[in-house]
Amino acid sequence: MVENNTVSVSKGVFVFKNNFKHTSMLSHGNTSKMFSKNLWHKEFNLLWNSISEDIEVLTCNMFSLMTKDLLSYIRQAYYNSSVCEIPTAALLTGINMPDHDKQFKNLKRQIINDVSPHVALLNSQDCSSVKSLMDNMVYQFLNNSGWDKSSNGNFGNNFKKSQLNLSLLERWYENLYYTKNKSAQPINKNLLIVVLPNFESFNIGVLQKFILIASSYLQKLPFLFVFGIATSISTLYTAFPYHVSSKISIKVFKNESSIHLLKKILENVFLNSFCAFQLGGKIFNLFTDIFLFYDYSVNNFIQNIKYTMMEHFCYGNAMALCSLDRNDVKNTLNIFKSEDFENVRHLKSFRQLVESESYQNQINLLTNDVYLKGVIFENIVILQKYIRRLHIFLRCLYILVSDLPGHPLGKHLYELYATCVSEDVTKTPQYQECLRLLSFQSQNNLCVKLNEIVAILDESINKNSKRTQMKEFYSKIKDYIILLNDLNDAEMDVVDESISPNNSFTNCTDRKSLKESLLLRTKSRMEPLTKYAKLRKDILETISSNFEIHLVQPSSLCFYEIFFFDDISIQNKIIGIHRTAIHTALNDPQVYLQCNCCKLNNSHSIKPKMPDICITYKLHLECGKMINMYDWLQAFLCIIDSSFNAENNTNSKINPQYQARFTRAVAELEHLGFIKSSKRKADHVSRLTWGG
Amino acid sequence: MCEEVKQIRVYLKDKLLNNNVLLCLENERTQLADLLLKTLDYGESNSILIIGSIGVGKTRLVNSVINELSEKGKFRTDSLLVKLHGLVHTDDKLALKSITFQMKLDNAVDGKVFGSFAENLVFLLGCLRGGEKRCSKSVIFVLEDFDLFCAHHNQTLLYNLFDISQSAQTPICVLGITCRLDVIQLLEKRVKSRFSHRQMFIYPGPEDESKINQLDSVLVHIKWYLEIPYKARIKISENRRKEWNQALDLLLKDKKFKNIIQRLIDLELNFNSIKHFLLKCICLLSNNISFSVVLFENELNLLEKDEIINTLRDLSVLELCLIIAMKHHCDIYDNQPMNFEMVYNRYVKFANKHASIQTIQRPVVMKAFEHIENLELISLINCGNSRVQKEYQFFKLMVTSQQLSEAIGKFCGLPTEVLQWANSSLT
Amino acid sequence: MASKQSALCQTFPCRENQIQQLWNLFGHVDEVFPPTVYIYGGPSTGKTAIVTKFLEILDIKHAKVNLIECYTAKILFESILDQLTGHELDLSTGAPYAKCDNFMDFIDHLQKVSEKFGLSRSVIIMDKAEELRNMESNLLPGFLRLQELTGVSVSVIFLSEILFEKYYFRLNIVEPIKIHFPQYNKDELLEIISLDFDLARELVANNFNQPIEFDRDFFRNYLNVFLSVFYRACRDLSELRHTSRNNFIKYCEPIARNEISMKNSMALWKNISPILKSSLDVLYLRVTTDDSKRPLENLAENIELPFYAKYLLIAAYLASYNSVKDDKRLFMKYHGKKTKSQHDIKRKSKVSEKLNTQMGPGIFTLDRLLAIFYSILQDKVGFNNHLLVQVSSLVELQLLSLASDNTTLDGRKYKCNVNFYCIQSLSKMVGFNIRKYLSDFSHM
Repeated sequence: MVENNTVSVSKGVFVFKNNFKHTSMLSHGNTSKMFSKNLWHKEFNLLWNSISEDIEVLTCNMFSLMTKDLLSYIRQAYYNSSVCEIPTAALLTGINMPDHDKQFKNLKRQIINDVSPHVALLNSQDCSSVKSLMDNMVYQFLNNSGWDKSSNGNFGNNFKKSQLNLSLLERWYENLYYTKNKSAQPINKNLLIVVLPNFESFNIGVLQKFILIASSYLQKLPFLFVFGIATSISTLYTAFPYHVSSKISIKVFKNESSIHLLKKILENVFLNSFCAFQLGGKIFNLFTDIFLFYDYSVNNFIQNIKYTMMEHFCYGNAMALCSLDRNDVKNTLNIFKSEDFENVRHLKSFRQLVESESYQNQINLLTNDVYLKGVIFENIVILQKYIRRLHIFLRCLYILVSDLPGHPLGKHLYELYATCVSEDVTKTPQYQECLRLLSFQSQNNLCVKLNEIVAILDESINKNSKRTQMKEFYSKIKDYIILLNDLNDAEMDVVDESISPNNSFTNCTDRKSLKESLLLRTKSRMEPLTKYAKLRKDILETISSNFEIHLVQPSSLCFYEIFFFDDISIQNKIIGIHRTAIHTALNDPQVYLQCNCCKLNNSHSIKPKMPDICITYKLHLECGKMINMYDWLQAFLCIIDSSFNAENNTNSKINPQYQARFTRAVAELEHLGFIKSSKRKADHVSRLTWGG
Repeated sequence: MCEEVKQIRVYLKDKLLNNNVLLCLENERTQLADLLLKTLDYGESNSILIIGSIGVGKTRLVNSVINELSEKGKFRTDSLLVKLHGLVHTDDKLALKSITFQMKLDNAVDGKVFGSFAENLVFLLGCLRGGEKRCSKSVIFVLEDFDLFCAHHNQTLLYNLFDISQSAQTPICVLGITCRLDVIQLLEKRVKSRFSHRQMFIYPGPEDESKINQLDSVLVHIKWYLEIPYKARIKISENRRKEWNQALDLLLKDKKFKNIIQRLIDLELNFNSIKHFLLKCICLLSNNISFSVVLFENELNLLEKDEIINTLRDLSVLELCLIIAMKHHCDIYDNQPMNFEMVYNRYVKFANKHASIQTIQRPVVMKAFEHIENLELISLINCGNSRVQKEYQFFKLMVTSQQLSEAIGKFCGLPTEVLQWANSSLT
Repeated sequence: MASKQSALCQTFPCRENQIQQLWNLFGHVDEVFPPTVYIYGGPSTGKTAIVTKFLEILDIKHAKVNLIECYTAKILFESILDQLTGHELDLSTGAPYAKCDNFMDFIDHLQKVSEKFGLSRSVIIMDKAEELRNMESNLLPGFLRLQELTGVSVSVIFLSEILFEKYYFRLNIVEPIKIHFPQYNKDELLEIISLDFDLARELVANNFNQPIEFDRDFFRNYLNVFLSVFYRACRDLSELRHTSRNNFIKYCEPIARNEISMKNSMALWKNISPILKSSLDVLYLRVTTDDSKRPLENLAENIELPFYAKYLLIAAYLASYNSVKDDKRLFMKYHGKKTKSQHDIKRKSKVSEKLNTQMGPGIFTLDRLLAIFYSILQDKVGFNNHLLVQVSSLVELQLLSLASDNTTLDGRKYKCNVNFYCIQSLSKMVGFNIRKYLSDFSHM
């Protein structure tokens, strides 16, 4: 378990590799102690686990595709007899992919399972020289030789480091495959596969030598390289000079870009009607901006969402109602205590509810828990319906507008989502613009879109339920499609009928009349609506009317806070600004300590009550590049020791306790990297941080 | 080829390659022999440096002297020979190890711990003082590539050896063999002071450095190498042997041949190279029974060829263009270093001027550049930090313009534009 | 004997002369071998192949070591001994025939071995001999005089790509006999490559469903066309062979599609020449991608960076290739009236070799980088950790490189590793005029 090895006497900093399983374990681990009994925490765990699982599955599928053809490449790499260059697979894994290492570990496992038991995975940090690289590789080959552990799996570990060289490897390989039939070509000899997860961080010179060596052994040892390249294939090209690059033949495999991955995850995990927790528009935009502008890191994105979820749920048990399952909600309500109801009453939208109600009901709402329970329940049910439909109609809308010229509502579904949850989309000018554009849609275009919409509705409507608006809408669209199809034959004559009135400009002599005739003509084009146009018109009307019903902004519904989180204030917590944070912490501890003993009237003043490190820090801000320790100490004493005054008792001995405190504070500053002891000047330290 | 020629070849090759017979240098031999005898017989310690250029036969001299002595039975049971080589015994620890081994004292030493190097060495020599009170065994140290021993950590070995040779302990004689004339300067003061400044300079040919004598001595060598003496162990008919030797004499008298040898000497006077030269000639010796002057001449021409030109002619047109660009750069900015960017730009300017030159992508040109670097026709000037991009590393050209122009002259299938460009005075 | 020689010449065409020379030195039984031979010549001129085959044919006992592989001298010594003694590594211990930590050990082990097995007339081949110069200083002269040092008549063959005179940097170097393997010329190349006629057949058979029957002349024609494009750029046999194979398929495709008849060489040439041109651009880079577009595109085009990271990179480039004194002029909106000083005139008349963009990147501090970043970036960006993280991740990707030690927190110095072409296209992508901000171009 993780927390066991993080329990330590010294308050050290512990680094965790940042992949999902790990973090979720953490959240189980040390938070469960405190929160496990709380309803909201249970709910959170449920939700988060399901989400993280979904994400896991998604990412795996994404990589599996690339892995598949990589494996096939590896299989057929040595089929054609004359291999004179080392076959090399270059995996273009974009930067900041989530769990990059994990991906390569999986890759290794898969290779071992399906292709060859001999895989060496080399990390740059332990391949600083050719020798270390060789030792490392040979050791791995000899020791984890896949399946046949029994025969020769574990003899490798009794070698001395000095003996691990290629000739040994060669001998070992022969012993594995050639001995059976010395003369003949060995049957199914497995490849020796070398995997370098992060190519850029390797020392180029070492790699060049390594490749040359490997190629000199190619006839006896069938090597195959797998490079993980973050930037682009041309780095390979610049890295290797001519005589090296001619030794390898590279096959490129491209990973899907992280933007793509993000889109997938969003649409399949968060933006669907199975996920109870909904991101508010502002937050959502914030996250997407962070992603697009700062780091292409899907991992961070997900972590951010997780953070918001925590923030959301720890509001209190009211959030335990954040679930899309009716019975669930019922059960939770049944075990609600009165303080939980209080917690609900504190929701902002509750007030609106109250104000909207009659006096008697107001009393009930505020006092009568049982009554409130009922109200909550029906509201929740409404919300649940709302959310389901929101997503369904979102997709419908997306289908309609996604390919419009100029993308008034954005290219991607998530952009659309952001607008929809932050305002009534149907009231926005962009939406109107879309409608206008849609009203020029050609018939078959429209037809296609409608079909798609139907498809969506199909999968999302449960047939055996009673009549709902959804159902009506669904059937309406269906009818429309039928109508459209019937229209096809009728269309023709209608069209030429509509063309006929346009006679040539015989009667127009001057520009004015010409203009009029043109105007009139355009009118005549508009005014006799063709059958299709009519149909299109009321199709759009019905659809948009439905949109107006369902695509309202969530804040209009009460108790929406239970499902939607839209508190932009967490921004400062998500986008860290460490320099300012540290500075304020040391400069004005009161901000964090929340104690009134060291409240400052102006930022420069120093209070003796402040922690020693703060005092030393503020003093050192006044110094230049070099700081004289003695003066520093004097200043320090001036502040903390009221009885002390520098003039007369400089010679008198300093209270050792104070000195100890000072020394400790200085040590802490050094640990934080603000100062460092310098050789240049006796009993001085040099200051490392910004400005003077 | 016929049987006898085979025989001759075998014989000559063998004679050429593994013989340790010494020609001339008679007085040096006697000198050296006396020196050694002093040590062996009267137990006088001594030290001498034998200095001479590569292949004049320093080692052979020493070996022959020692062999002679041992044949005379001078090397009695109470004297030892210790050979060290600068290339093999690269530090004093190794040297000491092998001294111990060569003195067959390993069993005496093992288990013992020595404070210092000197202690150890003294102990070794002390071991030689046999139980009986007679003078102890005398030791002869032969230090080949003496100059390399000077590089050892504060010359401990040399210091101790010379020190012992000064003090009247075990009689030892230190023979240093080196090809460095300035070897004395390499010695530290304390070492130099203990060295008896006895040096023996060995010249190719007789003492007085006059060409004609050199030629003679070389001819003597050649004669010795190539002739088949009376009772040589070789299965050819007697008159064949006579024939051969007569032919050889004629050859050596030949004026043209003498010129060739003179050229060879001027090229470099070094017996190894002469040997190689002769070896190649012998190799060419097939059906025709005797040497011909032409044969020697061809070999010499091959030898005189400038190899850089060969390498230049092995380049592709693109690479040659780059070299030309570099040369122009050197001419303009008198031999200032250049980097890829500059060369590339110069090349591109040229390529754009002439439509017929096919345009080649930058990366490919880069590879060509790297190839040139591999051949070390240009050498890197590393200025401080190593982690500079390839494009910006500075190089300097190692090809002279004469070599380049000659190579271009010989280059077959060179486009005329390139030719003109190469010859064009810098623009 | 002679038959063997001719056989060798058969397998390695256009090398008769060199083989003859080798033969003269090593070919004859009961003739003494020369102590050292130095064989040099360009890459893939058949040095290694010929020598090894030659020794195998004459079954001369030999040990072959590739110096690149010997990153320690120990490996060199031990592998030589193992090969000469035919010692097989014991897999349980992996112990070599004899432990050699230094040259001395090697020497006397070699002597022992020669007493035991008899090493006369045996050869040590040292491939990539130029590496010897980077190893212990005594090895190169040592191996050049191996016979003299050991007294064992084992001869050493050095194989290298560089001239022997490149070894003259210390004294007591004994010059060996030299054999030069010259690069193949055009006709010879044609000769040699046309030997894989059968292989080409096979290739075609594998690639097209219906078999195409063609004769040698057809293949040679193709090779003529091929060489006419490639020969000037490259004379490396292995490279040319590789490329020719790849392109031959493309050459045959129209025939397979029954568009062009096999006779119509003109049309075939028309068809292939653009393909050859494009594959000339990726010469030496053995890359095959699934997508048809040129595998080697600009770094900028397929690297995915966050928006700000792109700008950071551009800023870094500007910082690297502008001198500090130009910053004010370039990046400040209102830097006042610029008076034409003598210095500026000089800059205008700067010769191309002195341009910053040709002298290589300069070093800049983080502060300067950020300052430029903010000045070229129009919209207002908060200064936060994500930004700083981007800087370090650019370093991680080797697009920037750290040029100072890590002691100081804010005095970090960096260097930009991206070339102009890349940065140009990158700034095109984000819609930024790089030339306007480079002091090399700004005055143009």
